[in-house]
Order: sequence, then structure tokens, then C-alpha cells
Amino acid sequence: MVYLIWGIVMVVCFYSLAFGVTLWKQKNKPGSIVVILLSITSIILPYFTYVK
Amino acid sequence: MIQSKGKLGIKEFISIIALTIGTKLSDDTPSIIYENAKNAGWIATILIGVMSFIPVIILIKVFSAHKDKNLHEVIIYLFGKILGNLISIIILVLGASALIVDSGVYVDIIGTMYFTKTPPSIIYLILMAVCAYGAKRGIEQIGAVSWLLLPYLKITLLVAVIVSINEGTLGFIFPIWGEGKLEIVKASAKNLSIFSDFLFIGLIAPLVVSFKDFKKGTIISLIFVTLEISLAMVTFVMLFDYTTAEMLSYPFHETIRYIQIGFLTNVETLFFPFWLVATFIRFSFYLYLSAILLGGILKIKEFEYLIPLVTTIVILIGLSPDSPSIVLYTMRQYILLLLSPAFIFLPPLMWLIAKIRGDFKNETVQESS
Repeated sequence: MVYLIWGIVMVVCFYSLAFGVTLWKQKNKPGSIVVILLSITSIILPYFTYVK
Repeated sequence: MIQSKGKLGIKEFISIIALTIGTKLSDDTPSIIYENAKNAGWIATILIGVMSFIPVIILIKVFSAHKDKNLHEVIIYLFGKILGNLISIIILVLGASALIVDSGVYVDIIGTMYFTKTPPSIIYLILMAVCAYGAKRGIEQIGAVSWLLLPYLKITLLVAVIVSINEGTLGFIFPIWGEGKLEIVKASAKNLSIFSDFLFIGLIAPLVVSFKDFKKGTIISLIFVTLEISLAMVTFVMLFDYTTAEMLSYPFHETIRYIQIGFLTNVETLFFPFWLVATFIRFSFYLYLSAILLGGILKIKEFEYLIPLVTTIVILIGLSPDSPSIVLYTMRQYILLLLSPAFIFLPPLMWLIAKIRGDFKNETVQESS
């Protein structure tokens, strides 16, 4: 179960990071930074909430 | 995945509201209202509906001067870039918190009442994955599904209500004013934000075919959901009496487990799938609104790409409470308490600024020309 959650989180994180990079290329720097930060948050969150 | 960029008709718009706000009768909202208003909870609900009319009408008036803008764009226009974005961020945080707590409550309902052996994380994952898919398909498809399923969902609810009334005791609704008129007013003011979704509905205002439909749809759905929730609350009191109804976390689900249609027992198997579909539509819509608002704040036009990220964060935070029934109930009360002032004061403030700026004069000039 833990692996499944991690797998999904990783996929979503990469997807969002790629979207963040696209936003950076479109010159939407604030949007890109927030999306990248949220992606990193999604990777860190399971340590505090799911895998306690 | 192709996202439709069409507009919502009045029937789809009403269906979305009827399903998103109407399903509140099936979570812990009735228990929260009963806690203060006791057996007069149904009167408190009507009063909440009446009190909500003021901010809703004012909000519609504000949108009448900004027909092509959504809530975030109107806020930015009225309050300026910095303050406007700050207000939108506060709304987003409150809305996202409500989404996390509400989804947690629904996972708790499914986990404690129906799938008792399935881990909550699996239920959460499946529920939110379906909702994320729905949200990613776009508002037009959410609206179409809502309109398609609305009759089935409401007919099954009506059957449950009629059977419950037959099995209930009318005497339980007396004394009609519960603990007193003042207590009803207090309970209504405290829980006014159960209809705060009407504020968030401003985010899809420009996606409705015409402003006239938006105005008509909002008013019709406010009346509809008020009567629906109120009727359900009378039913719960008639069936269980308020002392029990107040203690039950999810009175609707206890009701459908308790009632019997003729020789048919375990009728919850009939109601549960319909309720589940309504839940999918509800959270799809909330995810869509969260993404649209986050996209607006960050100036992201392709906001639908944010939906998986928002969903993942919602799941990961929603999974954190160790005893969801107790923690989420308390958190939901706090969120309702926080959202109430935002719902009451933001629309009048927006109207006042629009009036000072002379936006309504421009609207009159535009209409006359």
C-alpha cells in the first residue's frame, strides 16, 4: 500500500514539475515557482501524514 | 484528455448546485445544526437559507456589472492586485480546507458504514481519483452528468424521505421552536456557511450561458437546497428524535440503514450507489473550483493541469487525522465558523466598492445603449 501511494505521488510530482517547467518557459515565473514548490510539498507531505 | 470548453445551461447549473450543496444533508451537517438548534434544526436550516439570500442577491448584483468576469477577476478588479490576490488566497485556503475536511468526512462515512474492512487510504485514493478524472473533463461534462443523474438521485432521496416519514413519529418535532427562538437564530448565524458554496459558485459565473440564467439558477437552487435539507432534517428528527439524531454522526446513512420498504430490508444497497455518484460529482466540482481559483491567482490559463497536484495534496492531508470521526467533526465546525463571516461580509463589501467606483452606472449606460 505504501509503495502504491509513493508511486502515485511520484508520478503526480513529475507531472506537476514538468508543468512547472512549461510555465517557466512561458515566462510565468511566479506560477512556475508555486507549482514546483507544491510538487515538492506533495513529495514531502507523506512523511508527515501517511508514513508517520 | 479532451476538456470541453462549452458553457453551462441553466438546468446543468441548477443540477450542479443541487448535488453539491444538497448532498450536505447526508454528511455531518445535520448533526452540527442539531447540536445548537435541537429539534428545531429544520427551522434553523430555513433561516440559514433566508439569511443566505442577502449575500447571494448582493453577489448577483455585483456580477451584474461584471458579467464576463469570475469571482477572482471581480475581486482583483474591485480590491486591486495585492489586496485582491490576498483575499483570493484566503478564499482558496478556506475552500481547500473545506474540501479536505469534507472529503475526509465522506471517506469516513464509506469506511465506517459500508466498506468496514477496506483501508481508508484505498477508499480515499479511489474516491479522489474518480473525482479528479471528472474535474479534468471540465465543467460542461460535470454539468451534463449532474443533469443526467439528478432525477434518479432526487427520486431515491424522496423515497427515503417518504418511507422515513411513514415510520417516524410526528410528535418528535415538538416543541416546534426547540430550545427557543434565540437559540435557532444563534445556530443559524453560526452555521450560515453551509451555503457558502454560493460564494465559490461565482468562479463559474462567466461559464453559464447568460447572466439571466446565472441569476435565475442561483436563486432557484438556493430555494431548492434549503427546502431539501430542511425536509431531510424534519425526517431525521421524526425517525430518531433529536437526542439520538444529534448524537449520530451521519443521520442520513443511519436512516437508510434503519428504514424498510415493504418486505425489503437492507435498502441502503439501493440508496448507497446513488449517493456515491452524487459524492463523485460534488468533489469533482470542488476540485475544479480549487484549480480554477489557484489558476486565477497564479495566472495559469491551463489550470486543469493543476487538478492532479491539488488532488494529491488533498488526499495526503486528508489522510492525516488518526480518528477522523472526531477530528473532522471538530474541524468542520471551525471551518463553518470561519467561512460564515467571509460569506456574510465579502459580498456587501464588494457591492459597496463597486457602487463607489460607479460600476452599476456603467452597467445602466451599457444596457440603455
